[in-house]
Amino acid sequence: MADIKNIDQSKIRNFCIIAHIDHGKSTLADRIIEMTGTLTAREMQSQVLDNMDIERERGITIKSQTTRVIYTAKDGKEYIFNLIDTPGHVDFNYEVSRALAACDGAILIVDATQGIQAQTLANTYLALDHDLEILPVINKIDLPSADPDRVAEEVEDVIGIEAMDAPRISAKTGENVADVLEAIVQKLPAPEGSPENPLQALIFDSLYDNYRGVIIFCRVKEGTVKVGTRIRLMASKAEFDVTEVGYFAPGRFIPCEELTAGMVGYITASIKDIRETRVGDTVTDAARPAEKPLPGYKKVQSMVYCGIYPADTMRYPDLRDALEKLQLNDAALQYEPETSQALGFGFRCGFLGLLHLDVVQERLEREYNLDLVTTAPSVVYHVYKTDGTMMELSNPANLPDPAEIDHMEEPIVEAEIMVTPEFMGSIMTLCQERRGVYKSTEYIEANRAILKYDMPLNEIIYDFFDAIKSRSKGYASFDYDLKGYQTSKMVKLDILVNRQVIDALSFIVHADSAYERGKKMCEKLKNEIPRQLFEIPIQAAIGGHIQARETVKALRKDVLAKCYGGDISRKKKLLEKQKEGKRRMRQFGNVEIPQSAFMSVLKLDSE
Amino acid sequence: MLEKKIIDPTDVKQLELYIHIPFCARKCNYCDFLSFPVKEQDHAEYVEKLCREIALGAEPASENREVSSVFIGGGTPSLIDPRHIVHIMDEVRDHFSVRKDAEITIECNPASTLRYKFSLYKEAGINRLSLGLQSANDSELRMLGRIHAFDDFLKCFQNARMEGFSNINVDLMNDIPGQTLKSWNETLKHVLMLKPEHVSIYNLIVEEGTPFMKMYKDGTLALPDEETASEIDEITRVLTGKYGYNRYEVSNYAKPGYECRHNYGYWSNVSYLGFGLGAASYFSGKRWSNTRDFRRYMELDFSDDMKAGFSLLRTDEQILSKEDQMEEFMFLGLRRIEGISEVEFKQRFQMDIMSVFGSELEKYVSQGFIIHDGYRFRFSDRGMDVSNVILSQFLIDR
Repeated sequence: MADIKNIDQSKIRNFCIIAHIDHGKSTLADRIIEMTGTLTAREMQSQVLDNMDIERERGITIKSQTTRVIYTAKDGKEYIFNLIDTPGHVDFNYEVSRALAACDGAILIVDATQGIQAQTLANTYLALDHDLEILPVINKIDLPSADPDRVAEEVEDVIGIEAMDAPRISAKTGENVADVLEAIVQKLPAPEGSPENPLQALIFDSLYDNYRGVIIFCRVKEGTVKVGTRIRLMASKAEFDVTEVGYFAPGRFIPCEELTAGMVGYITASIKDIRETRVGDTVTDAARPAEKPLPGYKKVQSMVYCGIYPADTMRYPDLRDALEKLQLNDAALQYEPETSQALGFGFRCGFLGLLHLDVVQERLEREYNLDLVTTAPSVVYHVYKTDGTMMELSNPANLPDPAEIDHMEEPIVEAEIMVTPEFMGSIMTLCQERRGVYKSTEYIEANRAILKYDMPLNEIIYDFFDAIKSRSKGYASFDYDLKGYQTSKMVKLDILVNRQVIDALSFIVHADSAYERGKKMCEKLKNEIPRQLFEIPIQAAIGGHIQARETVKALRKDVLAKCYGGDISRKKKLLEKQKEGKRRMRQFGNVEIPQSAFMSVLKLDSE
Repeated sequence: MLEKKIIDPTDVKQLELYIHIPFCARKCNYCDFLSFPVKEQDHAEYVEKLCREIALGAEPASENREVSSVFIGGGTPSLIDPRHIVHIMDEVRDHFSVRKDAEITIECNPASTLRYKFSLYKEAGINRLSLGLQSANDSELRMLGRIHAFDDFLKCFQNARMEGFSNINVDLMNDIPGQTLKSWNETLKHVLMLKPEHVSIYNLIVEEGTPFMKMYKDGTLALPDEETASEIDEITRVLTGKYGYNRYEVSNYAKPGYECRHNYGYWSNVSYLGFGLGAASYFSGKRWSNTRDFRRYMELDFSDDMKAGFSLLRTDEQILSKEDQMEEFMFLGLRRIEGISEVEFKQRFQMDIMSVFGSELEKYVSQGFIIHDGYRFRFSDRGMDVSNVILSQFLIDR
């Protein structure tokens, strides 16, 4: 193995793999690790880089993993590959951009059957923005419908990079993957920078470890960092003494003496709060600081908020602990306590997007064994009050009295939807239904176009992604970026169950779709709320004016008239089951509302 | 309200016996009871084993106790040779002191009851018959998978009367697939015109593992909807009243003085011993059930080491805690039309009922589902209709 101390910068390659979802990023990463002998095939779990259950099940990378492998090239020399894994979803665009900034090159995987997709393009442009050298690779040539020639042509036409000699591989079977390894050495550049310069290391990820505290993942751009260095994080201004530096073997951390310009590795410095080590921040030497931080730092902003409550109110402390622990490893997760009349004590949580929300919710349920009630997701509105102040509103329940509101603004995104012509009509209809403003159509080739729309974020946070998939039979793909805020006529729709406003069901909606939404809500809730001892009216109202109404009729018959002989235990079990069913519901006065009702509002448009 | 007490709660000597005959000619489509067809030869062997269990099980329990009722249930007890029944009752009398006025019931399937059987039952001291009719509508009977027609029942009923049985129950069923207001009206009228002393009306419950459950999951089981079910109840209310029957429990109606004391005991904290496969017992603060495994039951060795035999036989033994007993007091007691007595609660538990169930009782009384008159709590008609929801709330959170 190469001696880490005397590494020749020219023998290092720092790169990432970029691809559209499902084009084989993780599989290629596995293959590279396997073929460089770092792990034997027997040791390989499938997709070693995706190590969370949820990631493996969904086949997407959420938390990036980074690995260092040694490759002996055809020239007989040993090269160090730092493979920096990037999150694979639009919610994590900023993380992606920081991971890219840590690289010098990128392998671009394109599926030989599907060709270029929305994220292929988005990620390629992102990589080009960071001046990365791009190495195209055409994957899945083992599939019968593979058409590598056409895809290579497409890459040249659309992206404008040389692709005729791109390795054509099957990451699944390992075919031609050796060509990729050699191309990394030949085509991707070695890092630059001097170990003598003031320290500048880019944080592209971090992780919390119970023993070592926060582990900073970084790319050293300039200078040297070693044990004992007093470091300063330039954005958060916090200072720490380095306790360990090292690099990443697959699945493990290997300490070393120092990290110098061009290297990728980790730093620990007894840091307790992960929020101090923000992704994108620059680590410098407190004794000899760099003049400027590295460019591109942004404070992560939550795009989507929702209330998360324990189904069993007694488990509030467990939920708080679980969120605290999750946040240790997920600096993008924000939360603060809130109280709902309907749901009791819980938290208002901020997420990067809906997928992020989903992932957090699933981890809470799975890893912390919590039953949750989640309220409808909301975006952040700007509420301008008549007194001239502006409030950022993430919880519909906190909307001020209409008399105090001058006007409201809602967040708008630039959405790009890649679609084939046959589905263009239905996708455009969908965008219009969701208040999208058409911008342009760009043809990538005769058979594919990118539709650009400005869309209100609140129209896409529910189920837009699913709707796109279903209206295009899975062919369209979608990407978005926050554009800004725009004045909009928004109203708060309240839901009354048994004439009582259920705060957790309130949401903010555009005035034009309020009636339709309210009606759908009532219909949905009517089916979700089981018949009870009394008739229950369900109403939708805006500012006290009823817009729609449905009624859950009273339960007329529920008796256990069956003879079980003297088997009282059996009878009791049936009653216990009944009581258990009731316990899963929330009590509002005399009315019980099942948890599923709170979730159902998320799926209003799914039919 | 009832004038005379059906059961005297202060009678600590009374003991009820349940005897299970787990055989039937054919399993009905809705049935999940412990019952199955076997060879006739197995009947005799089973009865031998059962008598042995009665003999041995009686000893520790029979002291100072007097049997106030015996119920021979199934399955179809009338399926087996009536001489077996005589044998079983002899065994009971050999080992227990059976009161003169004890209520002794046997369940009969209208298809398997000939007159000579009734005469032997009479000889065995049986004084009450429970006839499983379910419906007077032959197509409903076929739907249920019953092996008899309404005509068979009429003959059976007539035979029973001719043998001098003056206490007869008829089992009927609601919520049968395809049942209509009209068909139920006819069923109930046909039956009440015969003037049985007692009518039990159960609801069909679609249970796991039955052909009905399969149909239910396939979506081919046309159960009456809740509205129809509710109107069916209304017909029952009107007709039983008109023919002079009192509803004294959720699903039981009787001419005055003919309430089933045995079943009433189940709701009223009376001790009972169950014999035979799967039979349940409640004795000195404990509940247990016999094994439901037929082979295991038949292989039990009661010969010398009785204890070993019983430990294999009895399963699910549960010593009732005070909370368990209070819950049962409520969810069993409230099934009776007379409801529960706060005085009795206090006597049994040395606690005020309101200190334990106050919030539930107050809520349901204020909503009109439970009536509080004097020192008793009982369901209103409306409360009885939705009793399941309410009874479940009397389970104590632990």
